[in-house]
Amino acid sequence: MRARSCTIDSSCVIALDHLKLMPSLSLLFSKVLVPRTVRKELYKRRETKDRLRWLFKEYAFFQRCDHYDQGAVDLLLTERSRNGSEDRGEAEAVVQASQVGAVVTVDDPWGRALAERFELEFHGTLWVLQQFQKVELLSSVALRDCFSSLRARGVRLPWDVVNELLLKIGQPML
Amino acid sequence: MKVFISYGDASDQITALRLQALGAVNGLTVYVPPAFTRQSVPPFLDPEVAQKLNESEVVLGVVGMGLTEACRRELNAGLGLRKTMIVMAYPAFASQLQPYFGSSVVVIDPASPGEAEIGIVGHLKTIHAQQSAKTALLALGTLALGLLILAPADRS
Repeated sequence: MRARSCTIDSSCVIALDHLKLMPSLSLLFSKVLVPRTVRKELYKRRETKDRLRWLFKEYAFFQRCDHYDQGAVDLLLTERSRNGSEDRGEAEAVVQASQVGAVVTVDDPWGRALAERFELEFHGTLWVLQQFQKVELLSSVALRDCFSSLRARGVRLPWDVVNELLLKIGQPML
Repeated sequence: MKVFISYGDASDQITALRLQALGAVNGLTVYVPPAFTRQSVPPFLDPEVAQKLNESEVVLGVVGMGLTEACRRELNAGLGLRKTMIVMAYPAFASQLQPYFGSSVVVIDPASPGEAEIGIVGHLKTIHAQQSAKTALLALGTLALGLLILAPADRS
């Protein structure tokens, strides 16, 4: 068994924290690394700022990470030909994961494509919840409730894939 | 069944959180103190932690990577409250804990994990507690044993 770490983007933090499932992430990863820009994004709103601070105080495996190649991140964002303010968190999560050999936990499609380009293992909130259901931490009904709650919260997930999964586990679609 | 897990230091919290998740799957309500309680030395037990300890029926100590004052205090309080208790510790810390917690301490030697399993069962035979409490400790103790044996590789 080797140490398994992940970097995480803001949408996954928001989703898993909303479901109160952040501590259970310890079943999948020994360390959850939160890049600087992801923290900045979450610090913009009082609610998520307070939650993030609380997570750092509460869980030792949930850690800040600041040491990675900023130049590589800048380059990726230049390629992206955008301002960069919205995607920088995903770029940092990918670059950092590639430096420390971590998995990338990201929901954003551009972030996922970037992780694939870097030949990194990547997953999103959907996969994390599926793993929890596989180990019976969540029942099928509870899994559906989680998705329903995330949809009501306005979290963006691939809902067609979610509905396929729900049908597969004998649950009605959302 | 309410279980309180007292972990040695901040790096042992991951083992406690995994036990919490696995315990929840099996219907146990497991409390794990926050990491900040291991990152400073307050003069007394955190009030919320003390309350959770008081409410729990079973206390499981998990001491693998370090031993903090907060952990010692929690275990002492558990002893004072006469909780059904097992402290699982690596050899380096077991010797520090045995004078205070006696036969509650189960030494985990990754080279011979079988001894620890025998230690858990042996200790449970000697204590007077409800069968449900003993079953919970046996289950969580066995899971903790597996997680602690794997912990050094997990951190490498």
